[in-house]
Amino acid sequence: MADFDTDVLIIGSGAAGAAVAKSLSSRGVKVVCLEQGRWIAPSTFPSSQTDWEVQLKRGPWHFSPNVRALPEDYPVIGAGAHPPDILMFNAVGGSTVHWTGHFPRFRPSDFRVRSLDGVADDWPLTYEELEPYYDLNDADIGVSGLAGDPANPPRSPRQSPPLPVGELGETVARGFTKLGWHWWVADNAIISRKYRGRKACTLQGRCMMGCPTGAKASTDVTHWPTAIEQGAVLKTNARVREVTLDDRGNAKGVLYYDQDGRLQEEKARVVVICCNGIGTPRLLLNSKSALFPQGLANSSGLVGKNFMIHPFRFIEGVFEESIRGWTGPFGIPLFSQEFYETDTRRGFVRGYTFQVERSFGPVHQAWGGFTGDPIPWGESHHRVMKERFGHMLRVTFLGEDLPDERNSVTLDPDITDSHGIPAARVTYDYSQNSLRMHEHARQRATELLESSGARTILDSGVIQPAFHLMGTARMGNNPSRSVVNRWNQSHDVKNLFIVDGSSFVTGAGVNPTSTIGALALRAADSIWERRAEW
Amino acid sequence: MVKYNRREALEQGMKGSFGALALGSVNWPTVKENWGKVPELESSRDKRVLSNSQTRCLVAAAEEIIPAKDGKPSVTEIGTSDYVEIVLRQDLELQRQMKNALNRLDEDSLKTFGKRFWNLRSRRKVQVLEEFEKHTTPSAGTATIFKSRPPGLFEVLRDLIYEGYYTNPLVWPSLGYDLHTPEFSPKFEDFDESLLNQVRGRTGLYREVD
Repeated sequence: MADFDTDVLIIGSGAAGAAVAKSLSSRGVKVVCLEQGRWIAPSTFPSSQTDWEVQLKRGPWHFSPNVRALPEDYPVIGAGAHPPDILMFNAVGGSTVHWTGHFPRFRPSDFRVRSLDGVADDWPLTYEELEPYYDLNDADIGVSGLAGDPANPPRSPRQSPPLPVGELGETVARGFTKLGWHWWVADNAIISRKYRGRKACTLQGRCMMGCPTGAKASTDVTHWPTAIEQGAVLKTNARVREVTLDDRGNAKGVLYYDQDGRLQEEKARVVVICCNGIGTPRLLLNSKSALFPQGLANSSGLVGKNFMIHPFRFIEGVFEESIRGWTGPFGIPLFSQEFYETDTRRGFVRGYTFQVERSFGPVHQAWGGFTGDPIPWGESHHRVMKERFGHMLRVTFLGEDLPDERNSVTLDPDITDSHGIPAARVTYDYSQNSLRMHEHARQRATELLESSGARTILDSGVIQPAFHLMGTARMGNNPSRSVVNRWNQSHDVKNLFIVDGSSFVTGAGVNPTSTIGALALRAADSIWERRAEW
Repeated sequence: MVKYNRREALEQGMKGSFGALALGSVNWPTVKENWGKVPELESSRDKRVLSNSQTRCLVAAAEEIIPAKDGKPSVTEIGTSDYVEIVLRQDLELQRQMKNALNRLDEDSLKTFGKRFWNLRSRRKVQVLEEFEKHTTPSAGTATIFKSRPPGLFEVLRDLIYEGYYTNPLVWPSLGYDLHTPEFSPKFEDFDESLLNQVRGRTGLYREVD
């Protein structure tokens, strides 16, 4: 056993890192977490400022690290036939500070893609194995919603009732009902009642710009205060350069730059990487050594390969009457999984979720909203603005993206971050399966909006924003076909765990954070149960 | 309604901003040079970045882009050009683009009608703006916050005027919009579960797995 003060060193304080830290520190494990970002005071969130929408377009709250270009960010260069616009946030809480809080689970079939549909690979674990961890994670996060959705396995009562859906939700619910399609009120990581000392949602909206009340779960609010109270140490403005190894090829710790730019070493018995589907392969590829010349834990050659995002498309409906489309929380009011399971008659395998969503405010509406259709200037400006603002709802198509080794994260040969560490380059091309799914979803969303009474329908076309970063250090039983085993443990380096979206085998057709958190808690249990080995 | 000093809030909010680098239009050599550095801000509030002619062009263009009609406040009345001036002070790239746009507008006006832009009659101003839009808007769709495309010069002008106008709370009452706060929350009915009655009875919506 190594003689270090720190038992477990975690890199990254977002959904995964925070879950591991809270779980292990509750059992007396000595945990240190290195986070390249900083604490952000809720009082400074743009959501309380009149120009909050402007900060979506430029400035330090932009979704893209390339636009923010803050010291804690690192460049991500898009490449390939469909270069993705990578969206992430670097701070205590990671991208949970900036997310909408939508909190769906994978379905059982999502773990058996190869067996059921003959594509990609099965996961080395099942929904049933993960289910208890979904429940534990829900309890840490605090979820609003309603059990009983017939499109998903039964689940435990939610921590608080569903958020109100308002006129917008009721309008589209009527459309679903007319068509006889599935819909359900969504699970959101936003509490509608007081929960564990947190206040209930006050329905202000603007959730993506930071929740000033703490009703929206972000791990700086939900996890870190408890983890720190339990003894975990969280070091901010600490950017990890590489993972270091001992003579036997075990992880020894990391080298990192502290807030003053000095190179420091942090040693630990176990290292857990939680840097997201781009940051994690970037760190592994930057951690080359004589033992791992192709990058740490990369004997399979799959570190950085199989990068997945979720194909997205926005279809907006304009309604005659006001539906207060901009009012209320930005978590998803309701969703449909009518087209989630494979039906090969549709011309593609796997499927997608429709998310019904609200609008931003007047500035974003004037700029063109989500579909890029600006309010015309001049004579008709006020008339069209009046027709649209508050009269729109959005149906977002979120589909499953199958893994493809050509979609990858590599190191850029030229660009570096502010510490001279090579940046990430992300190469991506939509598959024909995804494009066919896009077209099917466009037609069905149009049908839904017409059925709901929309008089005009706007379409964003195919877009590639990427805030769900998955697949680049995939999980599997076969070390030549995967990077980590079913416990998120590296096949190559036994005291190294990779616990974030990069471990996903497939991406499913839902947002990933709930599954990331559940996997993190499961990995934490595994680390604890094997503590004698460290 | 939130109480705040608009100018102070704006200037605070802009600190740390690296400006209008739209997704997909990132200039990597520039980004590389500036990555992680806090931008220098103009220290003097009174130092204007737009010349008198540029400001006159801006005001004249803004009045055509968002005309004062239908009972809406005019751009001049609510100080849209002051907003633009403050934003440009904080953002050198946007400043460069906006100056180019305003200079181009004036040049087009002189070339076409032999007059400065702000001296044209409304119909002719609209004509110059329409031509400017036609010739400077990229053909490849429209940029959104989730969809990359470098903005054209006309779009820079239009969007900044939209921004100055619609971030101003004086405009909000006419839209029925307000910035909700914990003390001033919107009213909603609780979710009515009976809406789900038809869905509850459905079966076979997900595949069981052995």
